[in-house]
Amino acid sequence: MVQQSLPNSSLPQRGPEGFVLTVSQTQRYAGLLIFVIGLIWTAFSAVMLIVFIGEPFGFFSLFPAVFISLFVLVGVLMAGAGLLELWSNLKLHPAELILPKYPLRLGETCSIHYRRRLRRGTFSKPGRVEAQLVCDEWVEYTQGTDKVTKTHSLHEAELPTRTVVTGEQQADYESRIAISSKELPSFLAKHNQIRWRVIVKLTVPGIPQKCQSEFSLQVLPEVLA
Amino acid sequence: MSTISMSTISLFLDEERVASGDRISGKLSYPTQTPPQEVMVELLWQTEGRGTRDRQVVDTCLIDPQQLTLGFAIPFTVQSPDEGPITYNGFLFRILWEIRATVVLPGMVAKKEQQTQPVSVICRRS
Amino acid sequence: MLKGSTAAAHRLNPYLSLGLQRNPFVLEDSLAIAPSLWIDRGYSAPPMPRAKQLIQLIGVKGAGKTSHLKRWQAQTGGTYCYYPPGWQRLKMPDVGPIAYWDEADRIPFAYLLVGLLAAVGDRSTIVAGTHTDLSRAAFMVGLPVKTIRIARFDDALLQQWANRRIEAVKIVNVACRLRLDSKKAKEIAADANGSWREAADQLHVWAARRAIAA
Repeated sequence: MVQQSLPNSSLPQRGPEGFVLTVSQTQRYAGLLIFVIGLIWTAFSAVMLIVFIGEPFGFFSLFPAVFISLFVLVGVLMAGAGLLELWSNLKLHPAELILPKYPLRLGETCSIHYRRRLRRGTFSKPGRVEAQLVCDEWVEYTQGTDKVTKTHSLHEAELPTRTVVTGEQQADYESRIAISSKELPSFLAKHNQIRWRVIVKLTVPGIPQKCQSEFSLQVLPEVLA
Repeated sequence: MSTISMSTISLFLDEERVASGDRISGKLSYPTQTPPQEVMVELLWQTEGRGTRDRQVVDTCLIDPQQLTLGFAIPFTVQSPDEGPITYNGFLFRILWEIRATVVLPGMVAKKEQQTQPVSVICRRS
Repeated sequence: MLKGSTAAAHRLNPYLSLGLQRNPFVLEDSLAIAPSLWIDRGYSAPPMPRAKQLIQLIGVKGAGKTSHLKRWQAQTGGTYCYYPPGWQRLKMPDVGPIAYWDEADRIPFAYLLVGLLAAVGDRSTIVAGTHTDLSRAAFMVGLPVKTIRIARFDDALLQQWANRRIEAVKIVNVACRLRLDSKKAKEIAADANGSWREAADQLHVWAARRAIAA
């Protein structure tokens, strides 16, 4: 079945500014999820480590103990990464992308306005916003016993980098995207997709993580004359 | 339980290339003196490639089985969706559109005959 | 220059230009591999039931463990148990004259011991696809072990496999214009890192590029 909703984004809300796309709940809570998984992983690995250290087999428990220590380390790193992501998200509201028209068509050019607000205060140091417009094929399959996803890039356009001005409460980024008439419309089935996305990276001193937001765009199978 | 056998269905399309949102019309003929149980024409797309196959029937046209006994080709029309997809030959997968005609023959054990015809769906121009 | 209807057919299906019905590396719908496409790597002969033995196939992801298990099961019968990640792996493995345990390294240790003990009592043959060596557990219950390490494929084997798949989708009486040469096979084998799935993904893209360009 073709999906009605796009991955990585909620459905756009139409407002006075235009169509506002926000990132999905999954992206918003990714940090929390990674932190929780990291904690569980660490706890489980630590218990196994304690069991092996406690075993009265001397030398024969050394190698498993060293091996399991690596798992504990991985868990700690995961929990740490999740915490950093959470910390960043606590400082910032979810990102938004605003377009004057939606969905898009082939042969269309339109402006985009990215915005991400601080929850408190203003930006005290200059930062940077980088963005890209990408289109790729994405497939998912289960063969043997694993679920695998694969992508193949169809289009990649770097958009101009902009500076985040100090003293502002939000990072604003404006640019224009162009979708050539020769490109492909979106296709979003369960296991096979052609995805158009705007990927925006916000780097600001004081915010630990490079904040990356992905906005899925719907492009109709219609060519503008 | 149903079995599908070698088909004597003939499918003709008025156009083999249409824009998304257009109607696709054609004719179906099937030589029979006994009316089948059911006759339908479906428009569907499916993927083929490295991803698990996705498939969707987007429109169905039911044909009065009695009409087939009259001996001439029966017209049908199905509607392609505005939102696509379009026919696509990609690197990891393809999107294929086809018209599929199904005739369910009368009897205790449902026997089906099917015939498909590929069709190309392209972007529409505004 | 192609005539109108032929040109239209080639637009719909670019693989016709290569003399093929479709891309040869389309994902198979089932886990089993058609006999004509099977490449013998030295262990195609199925194990014997009631051998009171653990036969473990050890290999990296995508090496072909499941394909071998499925091929043997088609010949010997017996149950096939797949162990997914997560809580669904909390199930006792089946035994019988011959049983196939896929992703056996995911079986919780206690369940594994009980299963192997049952195999000893039943004189079963257990065939396990695994990423790790299970012989320690088998030794604990006194079950003899035979280990088959599935080696990474080399470029020659990949080339043979790929060209066999291309042959399988050739259009009869039409010249085939797609063939994997040794240089490309070497490149893909190196990138695929022992995974047939990864190799098949890359080969699909390679064949698609050739069809689109033709």
